Amino acid sequence: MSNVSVNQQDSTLTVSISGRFDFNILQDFRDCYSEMAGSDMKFVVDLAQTEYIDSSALGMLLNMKNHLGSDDCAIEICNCQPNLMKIFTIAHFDKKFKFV
Amino acid sequence: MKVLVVDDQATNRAILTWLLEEDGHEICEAQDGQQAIDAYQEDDFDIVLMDVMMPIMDGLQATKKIKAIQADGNYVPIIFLTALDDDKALSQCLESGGDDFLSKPYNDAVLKAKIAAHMRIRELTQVITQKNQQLIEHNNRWQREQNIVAHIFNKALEHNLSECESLRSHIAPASTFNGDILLSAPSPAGGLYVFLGDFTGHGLGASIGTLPIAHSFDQLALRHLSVGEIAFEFNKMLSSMLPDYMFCCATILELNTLGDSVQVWMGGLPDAYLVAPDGSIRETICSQNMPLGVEHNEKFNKGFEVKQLNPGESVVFFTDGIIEAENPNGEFFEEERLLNCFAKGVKDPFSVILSQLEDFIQGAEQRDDISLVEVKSGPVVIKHNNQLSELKGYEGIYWQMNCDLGVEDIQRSNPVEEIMSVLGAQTLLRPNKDVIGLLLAELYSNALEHGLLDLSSDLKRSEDGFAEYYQLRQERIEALNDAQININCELLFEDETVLRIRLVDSGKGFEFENILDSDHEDSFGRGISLIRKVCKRVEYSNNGCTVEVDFPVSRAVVLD
Repeated sequence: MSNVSVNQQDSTLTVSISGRFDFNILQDFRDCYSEMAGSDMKFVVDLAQTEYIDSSALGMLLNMKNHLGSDDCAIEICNCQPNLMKIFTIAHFDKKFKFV
Repeated sequence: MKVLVVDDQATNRAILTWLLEEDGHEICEAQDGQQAIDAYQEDDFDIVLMDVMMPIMDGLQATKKIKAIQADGNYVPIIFLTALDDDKALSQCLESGGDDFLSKPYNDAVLKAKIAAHMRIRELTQVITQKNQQLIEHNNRWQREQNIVAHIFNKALEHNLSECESLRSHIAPASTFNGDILLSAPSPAGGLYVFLGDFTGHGLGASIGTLPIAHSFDQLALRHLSVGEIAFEFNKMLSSMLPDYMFCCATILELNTLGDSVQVWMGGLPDAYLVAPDGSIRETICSQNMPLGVEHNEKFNKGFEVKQLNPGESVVFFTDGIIEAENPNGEFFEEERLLNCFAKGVKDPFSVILSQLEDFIQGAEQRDDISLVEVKSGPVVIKHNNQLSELKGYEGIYWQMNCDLGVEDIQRSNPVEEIMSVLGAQTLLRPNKDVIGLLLAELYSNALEHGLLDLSSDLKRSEDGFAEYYQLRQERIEALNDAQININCELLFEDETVLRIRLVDSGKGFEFENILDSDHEDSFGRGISLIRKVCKRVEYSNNGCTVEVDFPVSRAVVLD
């Protein structure tokens, strides 16, 4: 099943999502960053273990960006598998987030 | 040894016979040149002792004829025994084809020594003839095998994309077999994969490794693996296959559909250059990895670099055959000459490199395989392969799949996953499995959330609303009774092979126009815009309760 985990190291907060990235993890996902608005933290979403995303995941990522009030590409998405990258690209998310 | 003694004088013949039989030779006698030829044709002799002056046919003429018969490579020495001792007569003996001469009266020991010497030459000649024969046979066999292998290689490399405007290449092997290998394949998303490899050495030995690479490249491309993962797969294959001293330097590149970004994995090949539209080098991309076939699987780094490509830019890469190309003075072409080909104002560095290289080499023998590749920015258009697959068409059966989902099915879990486990097994759909899965999921969400649950996307405008939306979703699913969603998937042919997906929900409908128009930056409305991007037809009807979309399966997903 899906699982959200957070790891804070120095000034970088990494949210790792394993399994399916959809509305079922909405609350867990929000909890990871909701207290952090306005901080100088660097945010990274690690998709190494993510198997699936849908449009609700895209919405959740946009919410995260809006909540943190960050600029385009300030949130890094890392270890995105090609099959997921395809979906991000179709949705033009490659312009909104920094993929590393 | 079998000796043919030719002399018209019976006494001479008798003396020779007596003398040579003493040494264990077998003697056959002839009285004149004609008899000698007849005897020679009937029997196999090791040596001929020939008198010059004889009736009917003299020794000179007989020698000429015998040597003519001998032309098959069987060397039978002819020694003249002659009473003549003037230089002219002796040179006539040699001109007629004689191998040696001895003036009469001869010394027994000298005669025996000469015979022994010529026997050694004959034996040597026989050995050489035999070896020659073996060489000829070997060479013929090698030629045959080479033809077969060349055929296999040609076939293996044939499925390269011959017509793709994003790709330009120059390949010059040093021998029939190329240790360099250039492969290209379309990516399922509509981009382009390019593989350039250089196996240690050149010729057949180096070529061998190209076969499995060529064979599996298309498969890996079809799985839409990242360049790093392709490198990992190749490394695994080669390290288990090649001897330790053999490996493959390689560059693997994927150009995205729009042609504005490349992913690059480099292992051991010379630097690649990102070339600006004005011909100068904007960036040098260096190899970060060991060549393929060296590193252990656990240590292998699948990481790769991503470079943005602006319009008019290109990536140029090559094997070391260019830098190490030699001219007749033994000088190398070297990196500096190559770098000089890239300069502001140079219109087409690719062509400049080739012409500079040709001027430099001046026809000197090529020592190593040379490959030069250019991948250009701009949308990927692949003519050849698509036409081919369009012509062939889909040869499988057309089918339809229908599911009626009741309340329990909807409440239990996500039925899309179950449907995808069936659809995803179809070879035809597999390359686009992820996109089709997303498509179905979005269509299902819309039918469920807007059709059956009457949820409004407006809620999702605020972040709290977003959460509330999904909260409500859960509550209303649990409260559902008497609802239905029908999902119908059909593979059919209409100008091309399409997957038609139709969903009908039992809800009271919703204002689908609003949804169709939404294409904004909000955190909702992304679903339908995704659907519209990948389908060639999206139609809502029946007050929004029915949606039908056509997904072109044989086309790769084209963005924008």
